[in-house]
Amino acid sequence: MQCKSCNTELPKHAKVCPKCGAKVSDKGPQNLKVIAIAGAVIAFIGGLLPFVQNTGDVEKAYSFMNIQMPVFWYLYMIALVATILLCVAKKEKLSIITTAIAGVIFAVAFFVSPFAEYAGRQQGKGGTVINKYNNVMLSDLLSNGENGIGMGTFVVIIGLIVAIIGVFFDLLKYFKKEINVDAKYMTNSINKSVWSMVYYYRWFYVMFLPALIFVLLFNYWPMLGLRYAFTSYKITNPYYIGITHFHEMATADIYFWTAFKNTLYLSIIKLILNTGAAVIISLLLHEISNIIFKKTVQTIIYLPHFMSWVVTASLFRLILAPSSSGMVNTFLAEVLGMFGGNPSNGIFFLGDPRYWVGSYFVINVWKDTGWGTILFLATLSGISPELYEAAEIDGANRFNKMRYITLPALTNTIITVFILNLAKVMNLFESVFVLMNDAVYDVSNVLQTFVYYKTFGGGRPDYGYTTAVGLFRSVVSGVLVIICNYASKKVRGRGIV
Amino acid sequence: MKKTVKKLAAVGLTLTSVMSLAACGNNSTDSAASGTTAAKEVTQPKSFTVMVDNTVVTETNGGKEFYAYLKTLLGDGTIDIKWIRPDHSGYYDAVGNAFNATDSMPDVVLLSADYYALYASSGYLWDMTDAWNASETKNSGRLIKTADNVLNALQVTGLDGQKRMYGFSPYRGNGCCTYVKKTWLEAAGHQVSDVQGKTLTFDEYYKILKDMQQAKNSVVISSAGYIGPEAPYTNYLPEFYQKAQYSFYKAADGKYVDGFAQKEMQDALTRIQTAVKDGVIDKESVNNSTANARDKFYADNSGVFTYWAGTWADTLKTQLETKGLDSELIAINPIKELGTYVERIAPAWCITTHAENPEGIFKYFIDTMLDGGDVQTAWEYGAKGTHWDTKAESVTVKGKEDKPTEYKEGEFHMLPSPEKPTGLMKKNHIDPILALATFKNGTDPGAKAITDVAKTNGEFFANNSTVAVAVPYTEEMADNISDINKQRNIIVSKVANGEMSAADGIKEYQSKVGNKVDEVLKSLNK
Repeated sequence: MQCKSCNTELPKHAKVCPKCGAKVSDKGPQNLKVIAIAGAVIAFIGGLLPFVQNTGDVEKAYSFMNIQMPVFWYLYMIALVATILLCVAKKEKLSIITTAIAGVIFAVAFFVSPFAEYAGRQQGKGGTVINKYNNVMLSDLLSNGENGIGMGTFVVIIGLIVAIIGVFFDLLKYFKKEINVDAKYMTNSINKSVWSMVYYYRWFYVMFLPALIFVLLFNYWPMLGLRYAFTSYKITNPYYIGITHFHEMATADIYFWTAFKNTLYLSIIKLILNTGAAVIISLLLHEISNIIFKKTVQTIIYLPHFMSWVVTASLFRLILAPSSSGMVNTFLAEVLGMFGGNPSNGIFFLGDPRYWVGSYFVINVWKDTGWGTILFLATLSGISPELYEAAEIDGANRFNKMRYITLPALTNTIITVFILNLAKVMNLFESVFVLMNDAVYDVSNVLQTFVYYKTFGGGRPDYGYTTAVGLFRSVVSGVLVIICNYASKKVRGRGIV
Repeated sequence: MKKTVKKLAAVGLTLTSVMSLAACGNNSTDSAASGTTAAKEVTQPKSFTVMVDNTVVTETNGGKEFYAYLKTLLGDGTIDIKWIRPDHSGYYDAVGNAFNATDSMPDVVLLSADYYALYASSGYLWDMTDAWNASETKNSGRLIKTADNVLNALQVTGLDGQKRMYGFSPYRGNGCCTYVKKTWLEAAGHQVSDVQGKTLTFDEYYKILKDMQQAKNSVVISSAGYIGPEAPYTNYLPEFYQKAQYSFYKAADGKYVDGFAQKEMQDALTRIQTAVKDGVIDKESVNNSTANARDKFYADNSGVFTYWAGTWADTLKTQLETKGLDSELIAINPIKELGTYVERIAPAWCITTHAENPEGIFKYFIDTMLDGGDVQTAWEYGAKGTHWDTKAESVTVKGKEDKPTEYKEGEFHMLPSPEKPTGLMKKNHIDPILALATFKNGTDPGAKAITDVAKTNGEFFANNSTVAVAVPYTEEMADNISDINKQRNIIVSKVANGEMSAADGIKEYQSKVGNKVDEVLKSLNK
């Protein structure tokens, strides 16, 4: 066994390190208490949900976000963040205290602080628009018969209980295999504490700091805006309305579910087609022995990837136009004699819902397949020629070599590419946006275009609603990532995140 | 342990500040802006921001020179204007984003009728009624006869429910009239005299279109969408929509109704469907931008085009000449069933409640736009020395260097466009034909620069149009109109492309957004 501080080999039953004097702990490295962390996260989410809910009007909701003394909310969040940090630092017992403090803050806020009930807008000092609020106490809210305890209260209580109880359960140990290796043979990093590791590599951490700040500033800071999903945010001055947006999204929005269905359908089919086409083209390119021809073909099929979607859309509008300027319809009409010989009577590929989806897939395959072949070709170039030679000696023909050597070698890459792209299926926007129009709206509207039109389609946009849609999209994406990670572990033996 | 606690405390404090900063602000109210109309001494603003689309000369077309020139003309020449120039096609996306937070809100913004009514009803625009009543422009006696029609349309409902003036437009809104190519007309066996100056019925008009379609074996009309993006919406296919109203309007009984659900709209959609089926209207119209539609007209792929009147009449003609095509266009009278063309409500210059000195901005910026002198000239024609000049010189446009035009000292003349030197500059933000006030000496210095085609067409449109009626914006309308309009557009496209009958289209419309429409109507008829 080694000293965690200086890595000196320790004598058996030593209480302190003979070299540096650091205390020697009998306990091995502990696992993260994920149940406690999950509890804190649940309690954190509960803080966004309504503590009191009007039974008739879903918009009338009361929570930390419209409490008259928001300091309670800040303290509550700080306490929960401290809980999470303590768990991460393996100081679980201390986290019980911070969780309990969060509970006390919640109770005080819930029972003592008045809630600010939105009561319209008015022109404030200097002509600016401000919100009007009425202050109401919990007792008044619950006594008028119109309100009941909201789900936020239950979620917070459950979360806090889980956060405290979770400290005593080590969930991860059931998923860990005992490696039965003496600690002295393990790497130093495993034997050391987090803080000593950070100190040991401090200059690397200093070098990492700019990247960390960048990521925090541009990737994580904007996430704080997710709280607007629980507000009515019309032009300015957001105010809390609980889960109204999620309720409306699920029950009353005429475009939302169609957009969700279209997003999944278009993305997944596109992914399958693009990956499939890229594999086939890679296999064909791999079979070409003339290097000049191969490189030329590769360059030609890569080029569309570098065209912007706006240019691509304009190009295909022209090619697919139902007029004499449309190449496809002109060919069908004048060469094949279809449509009475008049291309103007031809198929309106981008304006007819029956043809739009197919056209969309074809355009995507044309644009992105070439680029998609890069990874596959790189994998193919790594296959040992000896395998092919051995197969030839065994009498394998070209097709059999592809079937028994090339394809199996590609399988791992295909799965990796597929899984990585599956996690991005909810991000569909630009390609659809430039090709859609009102005539094909029912089959082309996806979540991102839905958000765009909700925001910029005229009228008064509710940024709260569109944030709620964005949050929903993120949650679905997150679930897909987890599924992909699980699938990756099953198929490849290791995860992708 | 102590060290750990210290470190954790440090991290905790950092996170505390982060979370506190993030959590702050949802109840923020601003205090800097001053939108009061109370009487106080009007001082010259030191600086302010102006957000405007490409109707003001773009920066690639001498915009910076215009800013500099305007600066020398305003106040004592020290007013610092920060110009915000979003991309033209995404202008209202940028406006929406700017109004998202008070610190990004411009002090002055140019808004179309819909956005004007929306932001006024939401309380974000400064009430300039009193300032306008006391303004030099209003009391100058130089306003044109129809100025009141334009300015009355700018009286909209504010946050307090009162109708007031929250924006000012220095020009008439203009609108679209229908241009017919003479060559197409003659190819179809008709004469110019068959249409020019005559009021046709829809049947007569449609027969001419069908004759053209057969003669040319091509679509005749390729419009920028089956429906326009802003009020009055129906202005790109007016002969087909006729009296049909796209949105809400006040009926004869004084109550608001949904124009889209009326019989007139159903008939209009049937007419469009028939025209698309007959090959008269281009089915690609659903995909067309205004630029696409214009290009098809210039490329002789269409023979009839409903587009902006006035200066655009000259531009269309010039473009056809450039392409080597016959450029004779006949602007036809509104057909009998249509009655008159519709003049849109002019875009309005508004001062937001974010502005610190709205009275000063009004006096030194907005009220000077029609000063009848140098500032009005700048807004109509651009910067002296860049877009126009009065010095003695020889002016040539690119490609016609062998045909210079000589001008004497003091003679007003336009210069080649900085962006497209193959032609002369035509105008800046205010179309001289549409200006709401005349010049002080009664003579527009650039009158000679306005072509006869533009002038004649402008007068023709003025005599054959009425100003659109503004619909008040209620809370319910502001919240639901984007969904309702989207459904309307979908139905128009589906019916036009023959996917469903007009009656089925209206039924689908009512089944999908009927409850939202009812909610809006209820609020309008309160």
